[in-house]
Amino acid sequence: MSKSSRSLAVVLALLAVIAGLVSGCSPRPSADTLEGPAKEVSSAVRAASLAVDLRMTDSTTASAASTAADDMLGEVEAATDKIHGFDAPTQEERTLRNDVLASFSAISRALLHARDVLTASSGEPAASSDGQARLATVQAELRTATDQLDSLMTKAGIQ
Amino acid sequence: MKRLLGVALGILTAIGGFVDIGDLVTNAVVGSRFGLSLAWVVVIGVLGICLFANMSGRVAAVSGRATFEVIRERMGPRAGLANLGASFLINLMTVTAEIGGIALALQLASGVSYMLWVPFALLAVWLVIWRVKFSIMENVTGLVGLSLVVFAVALFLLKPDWGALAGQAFTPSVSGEESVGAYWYYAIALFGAAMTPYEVFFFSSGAVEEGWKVKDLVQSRINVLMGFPLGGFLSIAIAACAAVVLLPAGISVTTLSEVVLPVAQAGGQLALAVLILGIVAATFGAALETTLSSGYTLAQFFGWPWGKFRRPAAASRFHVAMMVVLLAGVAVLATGVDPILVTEYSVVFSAIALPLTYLPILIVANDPQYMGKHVNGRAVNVAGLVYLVIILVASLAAIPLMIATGAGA
Repeated sequence: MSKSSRSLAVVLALLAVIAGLVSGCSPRPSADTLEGPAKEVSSAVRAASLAVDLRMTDSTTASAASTAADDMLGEVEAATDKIHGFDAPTQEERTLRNDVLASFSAISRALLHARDVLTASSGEPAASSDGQARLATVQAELRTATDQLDSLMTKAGIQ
Repeated sequence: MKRLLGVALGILTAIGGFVDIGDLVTNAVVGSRFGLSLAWVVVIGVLGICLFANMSGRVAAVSGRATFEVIRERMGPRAGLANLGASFLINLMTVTAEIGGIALALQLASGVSYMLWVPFALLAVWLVIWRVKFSIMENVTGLVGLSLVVFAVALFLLKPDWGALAGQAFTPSVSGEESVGAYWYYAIALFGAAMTPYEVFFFSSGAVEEGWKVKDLVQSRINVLMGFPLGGFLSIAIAACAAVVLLPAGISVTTLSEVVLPVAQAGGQLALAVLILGIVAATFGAALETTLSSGYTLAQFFGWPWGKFRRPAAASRFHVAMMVVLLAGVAVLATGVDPILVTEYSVVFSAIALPLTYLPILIVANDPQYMGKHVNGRAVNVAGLVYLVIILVASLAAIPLMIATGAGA
């Protein structure tokens, strides 16, 4: 084995060890580690809420708005998966993780509902009273879920 | 009159063809997170692409050969291979992102999952490359891509606080919510999006396709110097729309469906329809350009007959290479990878590969053997060297910043 091949092998082995160490260490729930997923979900639910608002004023189509809700649902699922990967050995950490997961779960339900209502609104004008009522209901759900997440973020010290 | 129309058409297609999925997504992400505080990067990127596209077009017009062909001959197969390897991988990522972009735009229009649109996008891109004349292909997608001007219209309709926007643009700063590392990571991403390597290879090969001569240099210069900056203005309008609507609402862009929200808010369903048409045209045009660029670079490196001015049977390896690239892009999308994520990585990897693309162009444009009296002037060389330093710094900083910031998270 030449000198350069040996060096390459050493570098690759070191990288493999670092990768193993990094992947082997699960983060623990804290304001710092939860900040990323919580902000992603907060952004997602606000985007879905804006899409519903725009649909209520007939400014967007049912297809575009339901696509936004569906995309945001995907974002929340991805953030939920990240939190599931957190290691929570203490009771306090378990409580924090479970609270965040419960909040994400409420947001997912609201987003699912929003997506269904937005998809169903494709056949009718958004201005119809039935359509408006259904959209107003999902908007209220999204806002409640957003408020819950916001207060949880404040409680956990996430800015 | 005919010449004037030609110039106007060239400028319009340059504007319409400037924005691709990378510009769309990166500018919207940046606008929603940093406001207009990275607008200066778009200006630097646009000046850079003007400089090197102009150089590359001049090499093609004077030598009658595409830039990559000349690089391969002038710098030898080893340097040519490094250039090919980097450019080809970036092209492949960009083709994947653009096809994903077409499919995502069609999902916004129809509500049908983008995965079901991917095969149609592939077929449409391949059919156009196979059957449609180069000039028609370029002009139609460029002109329809002009629909993206709706971003600028939407910005006016949103009645923003112009003073605040100007403040963000002229006194850039990082808000407390964001890290300095993420700011610089996105600065590099924006720079990579504006100076994507495929643009110069496509530009010079296109010059050969259209049979440019030295007398056409003035027109090409006007197209570049007016079309690209106006395209850059469009990029800033995308960021500004996001800065006005999404940033105050606490929405960080991660999907195409969020990019369109400000335009829908400003102009309603009509504006949204025009925007979706523009996104389809821009991504479709860019998918054609990147696929052709992949074919051009491969064929020019290996010395195969190439070009749409030849019948497909006379440039069979060139066409087969493009089919393989398209299929590879679709195979990547079939894994379920998020096309927006591919886009975000493609612009950063573009920045990493920039020195391999732009240094050889600068060398060739200074070689009197190919360029005769049309070699670069002193001012162009100074500007070229300054840009090479910027490109090198961006290229070296990209990976450490990507790791340190978790890809700008």
